[in-house]
Amino acid sequence: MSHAAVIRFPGSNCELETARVLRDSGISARIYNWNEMELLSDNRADAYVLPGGFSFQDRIRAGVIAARESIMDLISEEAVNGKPILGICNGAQVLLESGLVPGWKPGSIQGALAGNLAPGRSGYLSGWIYLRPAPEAIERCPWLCAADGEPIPVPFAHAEGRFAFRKEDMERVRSHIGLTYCAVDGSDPDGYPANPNGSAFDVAALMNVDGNVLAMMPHPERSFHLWQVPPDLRGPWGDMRRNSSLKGLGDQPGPGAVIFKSLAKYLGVE
Amino acid sequence: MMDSVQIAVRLKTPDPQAVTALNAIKAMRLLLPPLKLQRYDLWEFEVSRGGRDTVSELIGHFTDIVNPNKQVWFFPGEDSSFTEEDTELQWVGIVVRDHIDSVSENWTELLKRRGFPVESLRYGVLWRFGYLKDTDEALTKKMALDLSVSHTRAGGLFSNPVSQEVFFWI
Repeated sequence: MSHAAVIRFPGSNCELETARVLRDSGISARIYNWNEMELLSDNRADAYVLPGGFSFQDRIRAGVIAARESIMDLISEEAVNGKPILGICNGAQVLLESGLVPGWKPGSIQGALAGNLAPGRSGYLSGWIYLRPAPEAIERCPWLCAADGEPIPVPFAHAEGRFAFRKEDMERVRSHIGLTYCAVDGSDPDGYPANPNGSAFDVAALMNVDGNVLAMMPHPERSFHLWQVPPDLRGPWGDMRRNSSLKGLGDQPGPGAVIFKSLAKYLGVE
Repeated sequence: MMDSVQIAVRLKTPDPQAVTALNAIKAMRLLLPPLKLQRYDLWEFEVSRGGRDTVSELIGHFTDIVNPNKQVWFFPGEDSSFTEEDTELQWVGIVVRDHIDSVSENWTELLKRRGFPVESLRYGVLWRFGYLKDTDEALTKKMALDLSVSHTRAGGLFSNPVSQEVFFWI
């Protein structure tokens, strides 16, 4: 059975639901603490997930302390080995601070998840937004290979989620885009609130050079089930939620399931 | 005529961010690490009248800038409020600021709306590195600067060079 490792740092707070949705996708999942590198090294996984939360209380800046933990040596090694690695929210921040994404020169910091830039607002923002998979990412990324290109509604919740790059890197970033923020109908977001943080190119998720590592700011594990979708959400997923009977709601997949179903498809899980 | 007024804000208790940062520095096994580390919020106000009085007044209105229950503030430079350790060590100050700083922009707008004569403000974090007293000054500055910029995962710690800038605090 395919096996995924979910890495828990001090301050992670989404590891349980992340492990659960992996299991619900047919993948065995185990949570490893940040200081269990030897145990994880002896039990290499088929895929790795860095979950959301506030690792090390976001001290200094989000993700920077976790990025220096020795378990990230193992994650970096597995990234080079081509294993699928997903960072969700704080996990994405750890991946950027580790230099794994965009990863033009592994280990070098070549991108940032900077403070949100929204008119009249500072700090932490949360809500539901729509994501559009990039066609090239559907081809290349194990976390998006089951996507059909339709808009995916998921929750976001962060203070530092704005993908930022150096001016000279802007053009080459385009080929790393995994998901972009979009309007309900899949069209361009036209700024806030559809793009909630001012990310360059409306990026919500960014891949590494090989496409096996995905740093994703929104939370797909929070819309894995249809019952997690708010009934007043606009668009087809909201319609589906409103038209579902409460009785059968628990079994129906939600929009965020596509991320984990993609991994299952990639790993050949039936 | 604009007055530029800086305030530094610190926790009354030991700052957990500084404690964590110092532990991270120890793990880097540097030849000459800082012995102590201090962290301050640094606010720089451009005010059109009232100078320090204006800044003192607005601080009294907004606990998001200074929460008097847990923080103390002072005008750095003239006041001797950087703690008694100042005389025991050689200190290097480095300020970290975001290139695009929505916190400062939003505070500027808010203060203007509330009628304060503030033309602009900039928020940053001041890190003070305490080195052995007899260490070469140019060397301590270089070491502090190296520690302040994260070019690589294993390198500096205090700023992401893609989205932040650093400069020496005088």
